[in-house]
Amino acid sequence: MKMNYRKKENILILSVISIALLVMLFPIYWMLVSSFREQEYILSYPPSLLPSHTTAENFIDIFTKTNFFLYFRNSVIVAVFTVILVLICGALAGYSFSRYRHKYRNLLMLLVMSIQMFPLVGILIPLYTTYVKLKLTNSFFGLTFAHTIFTLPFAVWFLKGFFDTIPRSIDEAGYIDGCSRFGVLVKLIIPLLQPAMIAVTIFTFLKSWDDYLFCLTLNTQPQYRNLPVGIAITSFGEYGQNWGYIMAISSAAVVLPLLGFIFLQRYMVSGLVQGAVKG
Amino acid sequence: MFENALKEGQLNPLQKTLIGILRAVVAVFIPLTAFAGLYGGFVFLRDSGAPQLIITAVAIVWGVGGVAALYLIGNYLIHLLPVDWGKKLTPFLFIGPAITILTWYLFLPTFRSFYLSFFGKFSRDFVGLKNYIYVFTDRTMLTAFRNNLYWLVFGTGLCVLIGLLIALLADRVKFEKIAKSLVFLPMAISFVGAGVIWKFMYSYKPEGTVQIGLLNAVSTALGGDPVAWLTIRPGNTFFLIAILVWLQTGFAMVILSAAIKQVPSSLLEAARIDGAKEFRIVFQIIIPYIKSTLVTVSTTILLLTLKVFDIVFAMTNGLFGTEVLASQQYKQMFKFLHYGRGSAISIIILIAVTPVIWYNLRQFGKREVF
Repeated sequence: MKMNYRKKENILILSVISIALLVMLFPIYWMLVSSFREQEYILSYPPSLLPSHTTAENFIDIFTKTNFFLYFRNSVIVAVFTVILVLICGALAGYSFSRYRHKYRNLLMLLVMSIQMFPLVGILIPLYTTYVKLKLTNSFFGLTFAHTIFTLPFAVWFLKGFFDTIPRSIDEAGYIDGCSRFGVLVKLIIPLLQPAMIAVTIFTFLKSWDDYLFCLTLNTQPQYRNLPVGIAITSFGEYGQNWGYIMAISSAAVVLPLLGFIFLQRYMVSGLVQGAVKG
Repeated sequence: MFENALKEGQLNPLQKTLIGILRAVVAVFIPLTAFAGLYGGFVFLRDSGAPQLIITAVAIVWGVGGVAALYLIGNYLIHLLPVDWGKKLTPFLFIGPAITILTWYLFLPTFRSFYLSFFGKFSRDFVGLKNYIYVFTDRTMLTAFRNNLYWLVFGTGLCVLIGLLIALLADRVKFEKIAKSLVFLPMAISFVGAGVIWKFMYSYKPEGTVQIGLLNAVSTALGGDPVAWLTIRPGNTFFLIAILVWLQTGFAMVILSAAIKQVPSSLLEAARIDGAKEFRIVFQIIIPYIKSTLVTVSTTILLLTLKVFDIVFAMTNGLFGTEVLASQQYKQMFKFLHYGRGSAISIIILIAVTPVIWYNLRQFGKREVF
């Protein structure tokens, strides 16, 4: 009798999880399958759930007929620079918050954390007008800085938590061996925190990669658009009804983050958990 | 511990003031120079005709080298100062770059937003509270407020509830790790990407023609009529919210799952020995135990829903009554070029999130994160 109850419970749990997994994965699967399907069969009824009429034509077309590579390159440039800037500033600031106590420490820490939650649409207009004046619109530099604002607070806060876990005796050992403060940070502490640095890199890269609002607002010229804006334009514009193209461009855009998610997930999860469970 | 080495009494007031000024200089000057240097480099790169790859490579060296060089110069200058001063200034050398970027790009624009919200079109004439009156009386704006409320309540609620359910259940199956990574996967997709995928799933063609959207294919196959998911009000907002739930449930699940793992197993065993049913264990032990994590996750998603923009913009462009505050702001700004109204909306979003931020910061303070 008891056995039976357990079994029923297990079946219930398994079925709930299976449904959840199905719902979570199906749209991704559907996107991939559709992107490899011949145009006319995408529009056929009833839609076949299994891959059929496979072709790479959609991909070849978006690579040759649209500005995909331009958007892709722009996204990469901005994301890479954002990551570099965030890693440098984030590591320095995080180290400072972790190691030095002074009057303004708590205040500054609070500021950084409140920015983490700050709705950035709130500064869109002044940011835009300032950018226009500084001639920073339609530049990678301007967009990189905009992306840095919304990724930096997380990095500072997150790395500070990791610096806290490294005993100060390591710093002191470094000083005794003749390292400067900067030397201690770069040569001793950062190598110990490689996983944390990887996590910050992925998150920063992802957030920059996924940004739509800032690129749409600040970089209005086509040659500075990033991938999300490119996707949106494809889906609104002349290929608006061409679902094969739209799915292909979406698939091609998601490949990089998806690979990152699959191979580096343990770093990301530990990162998120560190941030939320510990504080 | 540097602060112990330094007794406040060792410095006279003049020296203290000087240190204060130097701190400010160190924290501001270095990053500002970095900014100027970097900008110069970018302008140079932008205008040069070299192959793209070379430009990118040079830019990387330039960016990293520039920031590092400035930092090292600052570090060197501090070494030249008396030891006591150096010790007091060092923290700011480290924080300086981050704080400067945030001040320059965040605090100043916020004040400007507030200022602009009292001006009319093109920010020329002062109009007092007119923009705010418009925001609270215009019909589209009221729809946007209502929709944002839906996003806030249902978006947050569903993400957290489903995330919690999966976290609780995944804890009890053998393939837990794989299941969790798969649920987490949609987070890799951008809001716009997700919007486009779901637009395809929701796609609608008039009755009698071929239905290409998967949901309508299912609905017609089951004998129903095709539904124009994205145009029926107010249901369409909920179909948009479903996308957010799809994207963010994984995030809620991963964090809640980690918190559930921290519940001491002795506590759970004791309850089981006392004959408590699983339901009771969940509601009376696990949930109270992970309360603070639940709050963190909820507020994080809640803040996300208050500024939701990409999904709405990519899916419906705010038509058919799906408008939200952020999309209205964008339209006021770029379509109607009314910066005053746009700014007023952004100030209202800011005011709406302030209590949440305040609450969160207090929680952090209590948990002694600092």
